[in-house]
Amino acid sequence: MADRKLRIATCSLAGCFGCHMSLLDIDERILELAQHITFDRTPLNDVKKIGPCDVGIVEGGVCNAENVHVLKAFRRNCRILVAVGACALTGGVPAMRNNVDLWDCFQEVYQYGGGIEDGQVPNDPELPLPFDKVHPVHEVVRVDLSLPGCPPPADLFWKVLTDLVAGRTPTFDRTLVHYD
Amino acid sequence: MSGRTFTLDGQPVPFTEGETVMEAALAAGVYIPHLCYRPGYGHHGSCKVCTVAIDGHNAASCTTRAREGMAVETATPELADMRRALVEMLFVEGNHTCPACEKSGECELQAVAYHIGMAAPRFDFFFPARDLDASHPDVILDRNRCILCELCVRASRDVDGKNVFAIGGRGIRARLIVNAASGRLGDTDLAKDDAAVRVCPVGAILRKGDAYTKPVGQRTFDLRPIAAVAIEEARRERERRRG
Amino acid sequence: MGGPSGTCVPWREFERRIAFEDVPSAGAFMVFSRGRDMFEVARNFAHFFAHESCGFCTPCRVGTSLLANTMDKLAAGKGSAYDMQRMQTLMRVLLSMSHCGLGHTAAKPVVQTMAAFPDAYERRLKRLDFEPAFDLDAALATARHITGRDDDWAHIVSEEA
Repeated sequence: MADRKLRIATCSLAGCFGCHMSLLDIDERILELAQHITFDRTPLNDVKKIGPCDVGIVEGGVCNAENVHVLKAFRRNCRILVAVGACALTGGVPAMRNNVDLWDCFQEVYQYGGGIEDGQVPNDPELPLPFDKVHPVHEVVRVDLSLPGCPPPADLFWKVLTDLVAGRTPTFDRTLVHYD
Repeated sequence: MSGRTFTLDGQPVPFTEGETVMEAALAAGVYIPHLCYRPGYGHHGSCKVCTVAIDGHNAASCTTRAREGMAVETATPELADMRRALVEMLFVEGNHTCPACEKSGECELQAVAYHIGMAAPRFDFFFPARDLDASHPDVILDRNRCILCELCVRASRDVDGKNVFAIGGRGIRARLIVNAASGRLGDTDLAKDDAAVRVCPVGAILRKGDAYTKPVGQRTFDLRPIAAVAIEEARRERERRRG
Repeated sequence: MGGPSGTCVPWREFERRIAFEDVPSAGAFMVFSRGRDMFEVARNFAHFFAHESCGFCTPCRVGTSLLANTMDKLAAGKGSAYDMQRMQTLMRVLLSMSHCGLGHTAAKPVVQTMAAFPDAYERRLKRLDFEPAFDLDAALATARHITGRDDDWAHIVSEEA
């Protein structure tokens, strides 16, 4: 190993970027990591288009059409797809709308919610269209690895990334697993 | 002590007549993951998480009496994988949103899932429509988080003597129901200190006003793994019985 | 032989004997002509067991429904090798962890038809890799209706390159 840097892409679908923040919480260890990895598409470098990668890290659930386009592009391009955080693994907090009718959601948000006057439902083609329900990532594409947590602790990101850099299959470490 | 033993993963485990495999194992300091069993409550055997292989046949350890010379296995790779699938089933069956649940860190479903090494459920989620009952002044009932272990049913009937809870419906539509003409918790004589309220292993039955009194990070299973907590709980129950 | 949880005897094994030693029966049997699609027979039985499950124990309550849902996914042409793998797990759990005979045998029609008529399953697998259970484009229909949109971005073309 180590002749070639591991190419990694990251994205946040229906998530809060908390998992990305937790990844950055590896703090100064990111300098050591940077010697072994290089970032492809990620909000960290603002590159928008993904190319062939070794590892794709996906945060957040699948709530709209754009999420599916991004997720499928990640699956096509990444050798190992890693779902991170409660939303990617279970739908999480965004999925709590799953038993509220979509029409009720739109009405509450755009028409009758507090402080709205003359509200109307936006219909610009630039806006991603939401699904009836929010789905975890594994219901839309095949996932190779799941990191639980809200967010997964920085040490879990560190362990998994260093394992992948070293060519090891990451194992389940009970002390680093928390769903909340 | 009668000096009778069976083997658990090859190790001898002593038991007294009438004890279940689960009781004997916990007394010997061996944790078998479980959800619907609780020391001091009637044997139930519905969650099946405690399934072990007894002389080659699978059975729930919480409802099987220990017998002299039986060979019990619990730490096998096959059982580990099936237990994981079982706990995953419980997660996809309900709406378990750990980050938004005040029981997180005190929840046995969560802690058992940590113990057995569940990273994420492999099955598709049901996202069922389930009701929340906030009609009681001191207690909230959130059916989204119910795992149908019937501990509250047993506690209310056998300990509190009130019979507040029951299971209604069949199959995947089975739900925890409330024994009142209105079906509402507020119309029962349930009190906030009842065993039925305390016994809930998940966040389905909660006392109002108690949420977040203990910060995340300092909760029961943040500090100690469920194996240690369960062995300790079983020891306390044995001491209580001895008086 | 027997009801839905009985033994499936394909035409290749018609020399077998209805006897305690070979194919035991409680007296009931069902005959399916060669024109019948045995996958659809098994799918029907999977739904029967999901409906019959009392809901007491986890493996049967959840497992029978998951199994029926997966059979529906295959029937809708969205099955993959991954689904077959998950069904194997479900069948093992049902068989060896359920509380009563209903759960123990609930997966039998699927297990047996899978073994006896593998073609009926294989031709329903869309991909070897993975396919979602739900129709992505159909899941946008409500939002299209609410917003009145019908542009390209309001659709997800299946088989997206």
